[in-house]
Amino acid sequence: MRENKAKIIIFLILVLITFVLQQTLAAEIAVFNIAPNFLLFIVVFSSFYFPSLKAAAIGGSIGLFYDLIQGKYLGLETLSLAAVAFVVSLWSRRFYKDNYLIPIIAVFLATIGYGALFLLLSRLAGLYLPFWSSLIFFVFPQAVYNAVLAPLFYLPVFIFFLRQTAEGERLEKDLL
Amino acid sequence: MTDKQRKRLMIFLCIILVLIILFVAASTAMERGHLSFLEKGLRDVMAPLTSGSSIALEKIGAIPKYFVGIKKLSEENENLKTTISQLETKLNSYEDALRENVELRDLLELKNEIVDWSPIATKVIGRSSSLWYNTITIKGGSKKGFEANMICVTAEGLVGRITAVSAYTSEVRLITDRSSGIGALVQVSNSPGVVSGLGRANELKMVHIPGDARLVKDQVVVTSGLGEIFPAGLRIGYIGEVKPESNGLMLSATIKPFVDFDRLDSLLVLTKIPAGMYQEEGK
Repeated sequence: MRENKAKIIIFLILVLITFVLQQTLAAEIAVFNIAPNFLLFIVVFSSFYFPSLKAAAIGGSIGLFYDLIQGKYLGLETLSLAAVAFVVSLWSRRFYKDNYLIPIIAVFLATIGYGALFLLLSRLAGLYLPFWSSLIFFVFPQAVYNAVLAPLFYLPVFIFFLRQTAEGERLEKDLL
Repeated sequence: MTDKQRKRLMIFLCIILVLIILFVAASTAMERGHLSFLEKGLRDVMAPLTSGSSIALEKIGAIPKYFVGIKKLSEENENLKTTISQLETKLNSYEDALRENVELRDLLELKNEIVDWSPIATKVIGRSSSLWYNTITIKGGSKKGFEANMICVTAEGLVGRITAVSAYTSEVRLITDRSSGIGALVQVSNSPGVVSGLGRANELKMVHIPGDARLVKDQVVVTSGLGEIFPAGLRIGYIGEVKPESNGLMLSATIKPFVDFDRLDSLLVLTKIPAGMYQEEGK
């Protein structure tokens, strides 16, 4: 019980750090004006280890926090990240998480899915963003950038969630 | 209740929830000068964290620049010395022109009005890395006297305007944001148009320029003062490629902004716009 509480607190700190980095570091390391989305990393990787409804709730909460900080079109990030977390959680059950290609592919597809969903929802909310040009010139390059950075961020999250299990200990030894 | 009924109820509730969220999203779409209590609180709590992180990143980024920069500095020093001597020559001629201007104004009995913008310098503490919005967060909010719609500039030119304030932070919508639109003029030819953002840091677009306008590459674009937000005469950027619009009657042009938005770390907030800086429609 105490272990679980500690895990939740560490997870919340991890989320907070990710938010701060998203507001500061992401813009600094932007390539051709495309910045990585660290929030997607945490949503995707945590969805690997939670059942789909719990994952959607976590994704939605992170999205809501992001919406409140951005202060406009409240709910678009909430819905997009909740849906991405739900789908990733369902999809990831079919694969072994120790394969390094899985987080890369998952982050790539999740970024595309998140971007497409956001663009569709934004139309329903009255925000006009050109769908195809945004998808090709903004979302796709970000998906590639996120996929490149995914392994770097996967390792700490992977160890954090699995280190208590025998499988985690074995994988930690293999990876480090 | 059977499993099937429960499943249907869940789907129904999910649809209702999505509709409610979309309704909230649509109703918060418009610019809100005043944020909710929760949003203000979150921004003020996050402000010291993002500010600290920005300072730390700035210091870390300065380390490699210091070593790489020494060689460049000596070259730059030589170039600057040449530029200074050229500028001194220019300054002499400008001083002559200024003296002449003062004399002529006296002759015409024009009043010398001192333009007071009451600028307040502040630091950028956060940048939106979102794909959808181009905004920055600056240090200082309502406690410092900042209000929505105040204009932000640097020595190079126009940055954007404040769209929301909390007690200790303000959000600035950059001119590169896709929803930004500014009444503008091309200097010399005085051709009007509207400058809007493309979501990219180094490019803007000017549309609705009269088809007979004589536009030349590198001409300077400034704010026209039309509308009630941006005063006249603020430098925006210079003209790049010019193309006819799809209706064939008007022109559009790409604009390279003067401000380097990638390296923007401090700016001035103009807390007071002097009278007579706006133009009336049709003038």
